[in-house]
Amino acid sequence: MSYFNFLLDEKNAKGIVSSIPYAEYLNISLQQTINGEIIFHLPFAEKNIGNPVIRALHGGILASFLECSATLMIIGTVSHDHLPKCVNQTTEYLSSAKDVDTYAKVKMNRVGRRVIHTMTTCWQEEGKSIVNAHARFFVGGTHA
Amino acid sequence: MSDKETQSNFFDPKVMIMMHKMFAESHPGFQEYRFEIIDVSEGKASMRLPYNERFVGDRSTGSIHGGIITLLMDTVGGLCAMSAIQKMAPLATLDLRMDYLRPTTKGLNILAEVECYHLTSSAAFVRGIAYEESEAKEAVAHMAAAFMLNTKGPDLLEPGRFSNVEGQK
Repeated sequence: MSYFNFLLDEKNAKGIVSSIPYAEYLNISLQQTINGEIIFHLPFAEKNIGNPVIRALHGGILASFLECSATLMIIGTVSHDHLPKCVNQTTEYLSSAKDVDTYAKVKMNRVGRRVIHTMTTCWQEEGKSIVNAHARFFVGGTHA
Repeated sequence: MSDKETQSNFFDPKVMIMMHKMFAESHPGFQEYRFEIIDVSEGKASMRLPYNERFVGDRSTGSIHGGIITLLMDTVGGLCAMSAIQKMAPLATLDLRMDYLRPTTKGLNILAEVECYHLTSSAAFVRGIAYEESEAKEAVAHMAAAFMLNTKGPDLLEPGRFSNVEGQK
């Protein structure tokens, strides 16, 4: 479920993003919809282009966006004190991404004491997924 | 430039200059990340990502975010697939898996080495390792990906695309 157990306002949304400098660099923001769901937003930027000929977004940027979204989701729901550490992530590319804004939502498939499994999907047009990612995160402990 | 010509000239120094331009200098994103091509040979490619504080994932340690390593690996993977088919043809990542072995050390550059271990007419299978640039050269992440070849769009080395290459020797 993509829900926080508190109401998100602009200030704590900014606070959550600021825990990851790279997420700030990508200009990621998050907002809560009217039914409480958390939606992540990656605004279009010229530097996110991968193939300048067909003006498609870089697959690595989308993978970064999905990894950041999942991390921020975990920070907002369960791991307020410790930064979750990504163990691994598999990203599947369903179709190429255009030079417009991208949105994502995160589903936490399992929240364990040490490991959280997430499934993140992103879209540019409502109802059409372009990239999916499955990731595993360690929370609470150390991962070295 | 005909297909055949591009193919036989793929590792030509002139093509390499164009590749550097395409992957580093004239690209809107790669200019920002300051990616550098270290080496390209048939089915192999390596690149460097200089350390940058803006890419930090964990403020308390200064280690860079996994996402930027994924971005680097995806880029080197694409370059590696192009070197395997010896053509700057457009391609698309089908899937990419990253394993983050350990957090990176503050201030160290990242080196990515990728090889194409299998090639078919429609796909390139690549795998690679990201290292820290230090004497110990410790591995920080592993990557495995599949690229679909010959997707839509023109060849990236079309004549005229990088018109000022001639004067860049």
